[in-house]
Amino acid sequence: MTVFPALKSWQNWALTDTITINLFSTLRRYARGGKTQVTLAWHPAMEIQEVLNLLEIPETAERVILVNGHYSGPDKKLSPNDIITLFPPMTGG
Amino acid sequence: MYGWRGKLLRVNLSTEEIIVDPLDPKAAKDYIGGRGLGIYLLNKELDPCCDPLSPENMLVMATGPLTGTKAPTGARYMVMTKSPLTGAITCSNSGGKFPAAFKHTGFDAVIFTGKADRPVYLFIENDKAQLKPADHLWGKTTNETTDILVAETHKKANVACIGPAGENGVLFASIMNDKDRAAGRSGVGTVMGAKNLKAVVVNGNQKVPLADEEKFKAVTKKFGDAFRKETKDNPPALRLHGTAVTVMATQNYGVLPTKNWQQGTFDNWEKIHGETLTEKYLVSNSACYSCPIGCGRKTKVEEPGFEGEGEGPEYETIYAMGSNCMVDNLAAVTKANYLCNEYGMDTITMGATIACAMELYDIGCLTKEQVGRTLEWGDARALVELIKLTAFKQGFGELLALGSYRLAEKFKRPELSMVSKKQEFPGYDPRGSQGMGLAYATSPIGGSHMRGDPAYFELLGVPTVIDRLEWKGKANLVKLWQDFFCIIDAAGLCVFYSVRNLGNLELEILPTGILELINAATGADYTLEELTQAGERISTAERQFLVKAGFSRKDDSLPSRMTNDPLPDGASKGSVCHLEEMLDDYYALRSWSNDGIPSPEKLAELGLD
Repeated sequence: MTVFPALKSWQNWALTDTITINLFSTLRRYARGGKTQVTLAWHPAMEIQEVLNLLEIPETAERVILVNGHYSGPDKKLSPNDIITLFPPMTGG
Repeated sequence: MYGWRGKLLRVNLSTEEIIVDPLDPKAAKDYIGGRGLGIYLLNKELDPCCDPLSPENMLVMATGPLTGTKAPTGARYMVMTKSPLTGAITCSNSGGKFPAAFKHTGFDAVIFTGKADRPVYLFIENDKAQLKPADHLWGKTTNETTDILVAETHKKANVACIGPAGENGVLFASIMNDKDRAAGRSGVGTVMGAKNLKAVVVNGNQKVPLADEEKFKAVTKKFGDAFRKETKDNPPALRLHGTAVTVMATQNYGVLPTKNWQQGTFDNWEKIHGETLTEKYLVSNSACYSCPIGCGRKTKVEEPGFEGEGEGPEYETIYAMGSNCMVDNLAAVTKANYLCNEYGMDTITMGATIACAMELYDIGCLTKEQVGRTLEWGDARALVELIKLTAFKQGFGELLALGSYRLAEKFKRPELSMVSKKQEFPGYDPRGSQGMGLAYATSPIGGSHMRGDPAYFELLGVPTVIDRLEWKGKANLVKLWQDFFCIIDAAGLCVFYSVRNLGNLELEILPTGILELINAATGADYTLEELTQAGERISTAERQFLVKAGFSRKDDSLPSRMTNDPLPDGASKGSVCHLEEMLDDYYALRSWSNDGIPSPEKLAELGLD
């Protein structure tokens, strides 16, 4: 599990519950240590914006946010075992 | 005229007569060009009830006023004819270099009628056109044909041609240009083959005349600068990984068609994902004429049995031949793509037809003896072998060459064919993308994502993402986006660029950027309302053709698997597509009757009465 410094204060009761973040395409650059799948400790007040901040994904980096396959805004409150998918908006097909 | 060349090339293949007709300026403005010009000509000159493979059918290759200009992505042309696969129209679009080169010969469009009594090709060189014998090309692949024709005409010539599949009457044969770009869908290559027309070769150096050179340059620069600024630190996903990057999105949403649409997720999706393609097989990206994105994939495969080099695969090919057949071998999918390109076949229909055959085999409707081999889910070698058999209509390939609907119908299970109007769907399950279901059902060419692609706003975040599982309110958006795509296709632009960069980036989409480009190019002084209405005119004119050919609400349909069987897995689990409810809204918004027939008032309003 990757636990970032900003989360250390939550460690006492967050270590057993986690969330997973998958980064794709241009957003892969925000992965840590080359890992495009990041696991973070979860805490009850956790929102997506906190995850974006931890990964240092700036406002200017366009992204589509999915939580468990459903589109979400950055203020979405997270639950244990949530899977977050982040990818840039794109055309194509 | 400006933007438009003002000239139509007419080729009667039966008499070998070639004439040049003027382009009616009113028709040019009302229908813009490309797809619009195509349907204008089909409605005026073709019996919608004709046999698509008879000499009576006509085939139009049309450019738009921005094709061959320096407008970003001004690279597209449209092939329109009556489809042998669907019985409806085709509007099969392609980019590359051929369309711009065609425009540079001095013509807006070429119209083929009749049937040559021996194989021929058309060579157009700066205002002059001649038919030449093509006996020596018959049977050749598209790559071989292109090389021979460049060698015998001009080293700078561009070629659009058919392969063996078009010659042999495979119902979903494509027209390949510049070797790897495809006017892929609905059997446009089959119509060329039925006319004994092997290829169109162009060599031109006439710049497109522009109404206001300075203004056009300034507008083009404005969009170019904005795109460069936007992508400086965030290169487009399409440039990095091609359309194949879409796999991760559809998998996560649970709408990646798998096992002939029995599932919405594929366990081994990462093996066929665009980022895997980049890592394992990408040689370089490639761009069409005047394109700042460069989504093309030049790839090379070295795995034994699947060796090859070429372009692709795109997302749609990966879904159709990968997850849909449960093939997780990306080398095999890529090889299958190369073969389809060389033989000249639509990769979507090919893959979807093999997936349908795999399901028929799985449930015991097809036997090993009938197929000539086993046909288990995920059999990568079967995928590759069956493509060759299909192109030459050998053995079981003769049935596959009919497409999935006729195949499934033959074994009395037509409901296992995932089509609308007998054309196979692209790779977005409409049970988890409601607007997509309506778009498939109402597309004039049958199952297609390129006639107003709701995946952009239901899945991919352009301009935003709205509730993909909600059907209410989708009819209006589908209508608006369908009409917007008509304008893009008529102007000669690419959808991938135009949706994000030449519209207002709102859900209620408007062609604001296209308006600036098209007015500077043509001097036609469109208002935003006139240009928007031209999109609706094209949509409605296409519907007119379909109605005359016998289509109505009964044909605006989806298979029962989409409307009755809830998705069993993934993030769209439990969902079905609410087509009938959306259709009612859609027809009302279009002023069509409850049976899908445009009202006399709407036809009059659009000048189509």
